[in-house]
Amino acid sequence: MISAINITKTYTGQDGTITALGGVSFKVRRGDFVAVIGRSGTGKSTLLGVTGGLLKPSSGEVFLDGQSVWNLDEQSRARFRGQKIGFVFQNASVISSLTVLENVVLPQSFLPKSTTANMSRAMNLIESVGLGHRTHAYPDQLSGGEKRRVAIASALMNDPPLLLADEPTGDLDSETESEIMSLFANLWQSGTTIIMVTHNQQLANYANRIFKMDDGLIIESSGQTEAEDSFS
Amino acid sequence: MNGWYLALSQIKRNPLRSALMAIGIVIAAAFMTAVALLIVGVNEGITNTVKRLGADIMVVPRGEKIARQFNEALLTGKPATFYLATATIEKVSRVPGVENISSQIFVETLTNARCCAGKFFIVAFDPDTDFTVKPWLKDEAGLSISQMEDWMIVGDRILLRKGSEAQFYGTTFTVAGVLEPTGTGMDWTIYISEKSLRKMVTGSGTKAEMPLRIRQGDYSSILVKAQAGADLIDLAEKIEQAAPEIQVILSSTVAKLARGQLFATAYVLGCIVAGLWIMALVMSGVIFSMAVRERRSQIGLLIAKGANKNFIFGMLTKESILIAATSCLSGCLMGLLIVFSFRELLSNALGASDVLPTAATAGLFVAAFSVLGTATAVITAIMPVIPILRTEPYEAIKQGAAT
Ligand SMILES: Nc1ncnc2c1ncn2[C@@H]1O[C@H](COP(=O)(O)OP(=O)(O)OP(=O)(O)O)[C@@H](O)[C@H]1O
Ligand SMILES: [Mg+2]
Repeated sequence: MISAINITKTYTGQDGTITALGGVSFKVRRGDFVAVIGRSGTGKSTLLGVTGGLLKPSSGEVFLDGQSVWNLDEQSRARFRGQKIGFVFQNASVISSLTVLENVVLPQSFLPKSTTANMSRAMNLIESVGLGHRTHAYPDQLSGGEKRRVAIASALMNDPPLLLADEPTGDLDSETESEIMSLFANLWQSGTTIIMVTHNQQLANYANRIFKMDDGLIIESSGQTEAEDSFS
Repeated sequence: MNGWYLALSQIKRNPLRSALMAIGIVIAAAFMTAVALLIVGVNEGITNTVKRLGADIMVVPRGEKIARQFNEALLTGKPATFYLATATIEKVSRVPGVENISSQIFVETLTNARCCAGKFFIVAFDPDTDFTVKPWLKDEAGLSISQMEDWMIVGDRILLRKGSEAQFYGTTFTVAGVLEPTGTGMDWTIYISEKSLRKMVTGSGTKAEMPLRIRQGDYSSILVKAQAGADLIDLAEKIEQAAPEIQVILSSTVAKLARGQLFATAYVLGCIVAGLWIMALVMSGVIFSMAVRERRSQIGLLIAKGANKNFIFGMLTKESILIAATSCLSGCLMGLLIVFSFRELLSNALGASDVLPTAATAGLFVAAFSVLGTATAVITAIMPVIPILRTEPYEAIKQGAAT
C-alpha cells in the first residue's frame, strides 16, 4: 500500500543543517499495523508527516496505492489526503471553534462530491470513543484525553484506508490508553492500515510490525521479510 | 460545513477578539460617515441658499464684517444687525438695469423671547414689494396677512405653527403662515411686516425690557431683481458707484464665501478621518494576523483533514469579510444616526442651516462607505496573513503545540 523510497528530510536553521531523515525506505502492506518506535528526536514524526503528504521531503518518493504523493499538485494532494488518510497528531488535535460533533463531521466537507453530512456515522464514531454524552461540547470544555478521542473519531470520519497516528495515547492515563488501543485493534481488524508512533514498548505489541528508528533511519524492522514477500 | 460556517464559528467562539477587530473600524466608519454627511449636507445647504435667494443682487452697508454676518444670516439664520439709510434705497432703485427692489430690516430677538430659546433672527419686509419671502409660503397665508394686525411668517424649523402667538419687544405676533423648508437660513427666520416693526420699535420704549433702537427710515438690506438679460457684475459695479456707502453681494459670492469656510473645515476633518481610518485598519489587521498566527496549528489541522490552501485562504477572507462588513455597516449607520440625532446641535456648531443631506445622498454614502470600508479592511487584514499561510502545514501543527 505504501512504498517509501530513499526519503531524506533536512532542516536548515540557525544551528546549521539538521538531518531529520537520512534516506529511509520502507514498504507497508494493506492491513498492516506498524508501530514506529525510537528515542525522542530520531525522526518519527518527520517520517509520518512525509508519508502522509503533509511535510515535503528533501528528496525521495512516497507512493500510496501506486500514486506518487509528492508529484501531485497541492489541490489534488489535499483531496487525496482527505480521502485516503486519517491523521492523529502528537499534540494539536481538534478545531477549537467547533463542537465535538462538528469536529468529527468536518473531514467530510473536504470530500470532492458534496455528500450530505453523514450524521449517523459521526454519532456512531463519537459513541465508539465514549463521548456520546458530549456531542455538543466545545473542545475547551473537554479534558486532554477526551480531545484526543475526538481527534481520533474525526480522523476516522471519511473511513480512510490509512490511519497515521503520532503518539495517540501520549500523556493519557493507562485506562484511556487501553480504550484507545482496543479501538485501534478493532480498526485494524476491520482492515484499516495503521502506522502508529509510540514510545511505549507495550503499545508496540499491538502491532504486527515494528520499525525502530535512530538518527533519522529505520535501524530495525520486524516482519519486514514477510512484508516484502507479499508486496507487489 | 463550508468556509462561511467555519469563519462564523471562529468569530462566535472568539467574541473578544472579534470585537477588538471591529471596534476601531466601527468608530472610524461612524466618524467618516458623519463627517462626509456633514460636509455634503452643509454644501447642499449652501447650494439651496444660493438657488433660493430670489434676489440677483443684495445690498448691505460696506464692511467686511457686515458681509460675513449677512452671509451667515442667509445660510444659517443667525441674527445680523446693521443698517443703512433710506436715501441709499432711492439711489439704488434709480440705477439703470434694476427692475425691482425690496428692502428688509433685521432685528434679533432677546434671549428670553417667549417662543423660543436663544436669539432669533427677525426680518421685517414690505409685503407689497417683496419677491423673496412670499414665494415660500406654504398655503394661502397671503389672505390672512392682509386682514391681520401683527402677523408673522415663520421658517420651517421655528417651533411655531399657524395661529400660535409670540411676543417680541412687548408686541404680540400671530403666526399667519409657515414657509416651506428651504434648507437655508430662512428656515430659522421670523418674518414680520415693516409696519409692525415700526410699531414694535415705538412700543418697545415702554413695553420691553430693552428698547429697540432702529431709526425711522433705517433699513438693513436691499434686495435687487435685475432686468432680464442684465449683466449682474456690471450692474453691481454701477450700484456701488451710485452709493459708495454700501457693498453689493452677489449670490455667487455668498456661495464662494461659505464654501471657502466649509472646505477649510472639511480638510481638517478629512485628515482626522484618514488618520482614524488608517489606525483602525492597522489595528484590525494586526489583531487578525496575530489571531491567524496563533491559529496556524488549527489551519494545519484543516489541511491535514483534506482542506487545500484555497479553502483556507477563502475561509480567512470570509472571516475578515464578516467582521469588516458588519463593523463597517454598523459604523456607517451609527454615523448617520449621530448626524440625525444631533442635527440641530451640529447645524448650530457648524453654522449651517442643515447638516443632513437628502435621504438618497445619505443612503448612497452609507452604502458606498460600507462597501469601500469593508474592501479596504479585508485587504489589510488578509495581506499580512498570506506569508503565514506559506508555512508547511506540518510545521504549523508542530509549532501550534509549542504555544
Ligand atoms: N522545523 C524544524 N527545524 C529544525 N529542526 C527540526 C524541525 N523539526 C524537527 N526538527 C529536528 O528533526 C529531528 C527529528 O524530529 P522529529 O519531530 O521527527 O522527532 P521525533 O522522533 O518525532 O521526536 P519525539 O519523539 O520527541 O516526538 C529532531 O532532531 C528535531 O530537532
Ligand atoms: Mg514526534
